Amino acid sequence: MARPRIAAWGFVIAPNDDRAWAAVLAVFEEVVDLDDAARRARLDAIGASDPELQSAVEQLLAADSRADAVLMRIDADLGEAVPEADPLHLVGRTVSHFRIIEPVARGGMGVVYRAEDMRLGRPVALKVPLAARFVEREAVERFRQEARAAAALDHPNLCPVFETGETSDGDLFYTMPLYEGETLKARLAREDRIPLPQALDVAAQLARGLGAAHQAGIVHRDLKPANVMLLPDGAVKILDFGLAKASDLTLTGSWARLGTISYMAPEQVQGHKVDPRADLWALGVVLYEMVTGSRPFGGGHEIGVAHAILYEPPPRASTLRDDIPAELDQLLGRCLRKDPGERVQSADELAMSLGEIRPDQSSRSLRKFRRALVTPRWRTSMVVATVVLVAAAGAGLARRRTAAPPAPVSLAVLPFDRLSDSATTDYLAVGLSDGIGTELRQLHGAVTPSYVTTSMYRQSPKSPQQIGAEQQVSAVLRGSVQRLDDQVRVDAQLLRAADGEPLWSHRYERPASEVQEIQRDIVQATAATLRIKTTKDERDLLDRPATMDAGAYDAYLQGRTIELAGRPRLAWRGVPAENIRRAVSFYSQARDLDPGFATARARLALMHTLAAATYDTTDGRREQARVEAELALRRHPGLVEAREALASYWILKGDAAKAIEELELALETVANSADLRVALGGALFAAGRFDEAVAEYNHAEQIEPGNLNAAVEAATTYNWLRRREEAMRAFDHAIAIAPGEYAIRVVKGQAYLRWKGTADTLAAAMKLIPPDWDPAGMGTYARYTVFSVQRRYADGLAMLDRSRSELSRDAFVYQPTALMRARLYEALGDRRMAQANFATARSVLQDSADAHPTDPHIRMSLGLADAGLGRSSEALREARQAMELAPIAKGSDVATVVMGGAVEVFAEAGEIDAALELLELLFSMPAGRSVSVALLRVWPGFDPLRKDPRFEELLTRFAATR
Amino acid sequence: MALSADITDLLHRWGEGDAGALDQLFPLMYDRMRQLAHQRLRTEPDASLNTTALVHEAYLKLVDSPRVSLRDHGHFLGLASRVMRHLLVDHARGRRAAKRGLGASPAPLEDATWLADDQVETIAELGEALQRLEAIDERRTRILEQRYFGGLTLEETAEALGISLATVKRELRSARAWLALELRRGDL
Repeated sequence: MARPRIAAWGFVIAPNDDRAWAAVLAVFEEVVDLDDAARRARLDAIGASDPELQSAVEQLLAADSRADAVLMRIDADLGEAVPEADPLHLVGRTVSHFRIIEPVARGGMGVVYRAEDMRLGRPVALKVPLAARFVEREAVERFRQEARAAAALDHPNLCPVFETGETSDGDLFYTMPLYEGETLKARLAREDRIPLPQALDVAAQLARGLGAAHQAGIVHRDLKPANVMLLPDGAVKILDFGLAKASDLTLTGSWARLGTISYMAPEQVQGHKVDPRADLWALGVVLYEMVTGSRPFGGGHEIGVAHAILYEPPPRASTLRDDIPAELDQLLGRCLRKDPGERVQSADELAMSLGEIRPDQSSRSLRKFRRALVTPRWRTSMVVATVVLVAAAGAGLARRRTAAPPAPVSLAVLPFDRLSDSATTDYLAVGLSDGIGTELRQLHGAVTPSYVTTSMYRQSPKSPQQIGAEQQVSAVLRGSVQRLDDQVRVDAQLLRAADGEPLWSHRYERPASEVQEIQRDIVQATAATLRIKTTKDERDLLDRPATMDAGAYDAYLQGRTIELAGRPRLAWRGVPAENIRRAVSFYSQARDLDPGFATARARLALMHTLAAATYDTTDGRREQARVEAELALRRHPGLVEAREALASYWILKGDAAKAIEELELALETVANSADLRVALGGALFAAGRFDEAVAEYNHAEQIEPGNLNAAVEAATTYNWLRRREEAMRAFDHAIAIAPGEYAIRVVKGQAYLRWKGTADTLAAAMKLIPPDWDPAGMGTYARYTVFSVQRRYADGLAMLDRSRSELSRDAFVYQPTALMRARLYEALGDRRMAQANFATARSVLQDSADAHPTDPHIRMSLGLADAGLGRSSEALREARQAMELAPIAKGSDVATVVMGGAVEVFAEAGEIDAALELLELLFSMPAGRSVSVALLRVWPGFDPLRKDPRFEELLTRFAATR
Repeated sequence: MALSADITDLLHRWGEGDAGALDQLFPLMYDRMRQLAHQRLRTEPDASLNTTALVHEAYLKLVDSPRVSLRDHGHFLGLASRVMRHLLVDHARGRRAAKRGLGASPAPLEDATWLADDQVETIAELGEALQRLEAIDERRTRILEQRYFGGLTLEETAEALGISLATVKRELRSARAWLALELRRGDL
């Protein structure tokens, strides 16, 4: 019978010898929890008959007793990922005179519990530093000395140590106040950079705390973001004084085990004697990281970091961030001198220097409203949605503006007709015409409008000449598709736009699985007939099928058809969630059938960005887009759709600069894509580069004169820049392109109101728009706006009674009809009805706010309802929260809309001073189209301010500058 | 528990050939996988970048793997643990080989350096030990794998392996003892 083989250095189980192994384990598990005597007896009994088994079990038992020590390194590196919340099993137990209630934090360095001090009856934080678990007695005593010294410190920026002690398991612990807040480390993980004023404030508080400790002769030695606690009231506390010294002793020679070395001074890295100046270095690193978002000494792993700390000068902070004042740059340099003798010499000096630095003055008044606020992730605004949608819209093509001769050939690919009536025919027809257009627009010598634009000619009675004139193209490709069992018949015809003369035509009858070949053949014939210039790379690309798998291509075509069916011409309107979901399903099917099908992956990525921008705002969804896009690029470097997807991804991440990069790369491949230029414009807008955005929109328009989104985006951007005349011209152009897109007329009317202070344009638009046009209540809201400005309150109420809408919402508005009704009744002086409607509105809005707690517009309307009900303090709280939810970021007009709303809330609540102060701030901002002097003069919501002479003074003052 | 019920349902659908199911699954699992990966990696300052890359790779492996029939949430976590183990061990081996000049290049996945230098050795050794354990005791291998590479809680491991929590605890202890013996061997 096989036995575990025993070797001098241990035991080895023979491979496949399950029985022997099982026997060792069985005995091990049987005896491991026995007391020594019982265990000995049992093992001896086994040894009598099977000495090898006894020996193997004994070795395993010996290993068991050492396992924690032997595996310490692995456990530290790869311990539980979801940390066992209470690894010491202390919850519910009493340690000394502390009742352990629950774990509150767990890091590599220890566990912190919420506990109750039963003697004093107060809650405390009880920390068990795990690093001190494997220590010698001497170190324990040292730790206690240090902790006692730290406990004697009394300073607002130092976290005091109440008591130290030992648990019954022999672990050290100490107690400290229980703070509600977060560590700087957690904050930095959430937010790349801390706003300058706040970073300086935190650093100054740290310096003051260190100063007090240094005066008492105590050096922290391990100052780092994880040891800095930020409290909600803005106070900063330094944690863990004294611990580092004790740890140093216990973990000789291995600074790695202390956690990160990123904050250690050179003398500390080298193991030299450390004095208070090491803490000042650490503070310098922390401040540097707060303001730049990165650490001064990189290098990837610890050796690299150590090398950088010892030998490399840190990059100047001002090279990483524009608005770093020169004094701060210098001060950081002085904290980070390698030689302690050249460094800032004392914490007090550092605190003083920090106090003298003035961040950019203009941000001071903003700070008042936003101090210590957490900046939420950028919510999807209309701007973002537009970029995402347009970027995804399948690159429409047109001619290169600065067309180097010869001029590119322009042609329109019309949707192919379906001659048989089935879903299969449908997606073959859509897929084929879209696919041909997509391939043609990869050629630098061709321009062709996007499918979304040409799809309006589906079954159109217009002649090729008319279409040619409308789209300004010189040729038109049209065709038909018929499905006969497994065969497909495709007729394609290329016509000269000038006279409708056929230039080329062909009939294909092939198996349906060869539709890719048909497509390629049509593209090549078209290119040859029209003498479209192609490069060798382009010809190679055309020759290469996107996938060899007919099934994958079929699924792809179905996905594309669903996607295109959901794409509105006006990107604002968004793609319905159902279309996104189904397209995701088809594209992933295509990808699964052929993992190398890069285009399917890229389209899938685009769909994920659409989902992430609308119905599934999880980080996971967004990241999935990136995964697929990058995998697509790996398989097909330079794939335009993958770049578009990445651009959308970066917009969702709030990084417009990266989105711009991706779009510029995509435009290197398809320079004359109007849709890509519109997308680039959107990204530039998001980056605050408004003038360049306008230039891209204009460029797009020259490429494809009928591109609706180029016109609409140009209009709204001009409006944002308060270039009102140009905005009106662009709106009119957009309306001419798509007379049936009523939303554009409404937005134009709202813009005109803000420019001239009259609702006439909006009223004229509403007269023209059919009364039943009311998507998301926007028709209702527009009419309410007209009646309010014209002060025809009773007519407004009658209109609301006729309206079927209960809620108006778009990217900037969230108003239940009851709220509009309440304000009209209020204006009419009917207090009772006003109150009833405010109450209704409030309950609707409270539900909405609970469901969407981070939506600033909901919160602002809730504030308005509160104010109407006389609940002033709630109203002000909601208004402030709404402003916190809409940070003043570049390109975000949400913030100005929300601030304008807050002015109304303040006015309604009778807080005239606050309202005026906020207006002052609003008008000091560089752009913003939502609130204008003209609007302030006519909108009833501002009436409570009119009694105050300062309001008129303010309007006069700003009217002159705007 | 709604979340893990959803996950189980999606896994079921994925197993039955619903291609979209995995794509719906990913967002649900992403935060968890990211958390797992984050705790596995200690490279700074690019930890978040590397974490993302690792999760992406793990996801790719899951997508590209032959469609296995996954029972439930726990089963998925078990699979994710294995994917994570192979990625990290391969990476560590590649790095070690490269350092020793054996000509083998580091795992060519992304260009990220996932592991700090001192982690490379630990993980490579652990990987080798687990490989040896796998030959004699599969279940204890899974338990260690899920602990060290998947970061599952003991409860989740019990769920993933379909055994009781008490069994997991007992077997984890003997597995750790074996591992301590195995790793110690090299030191002596």
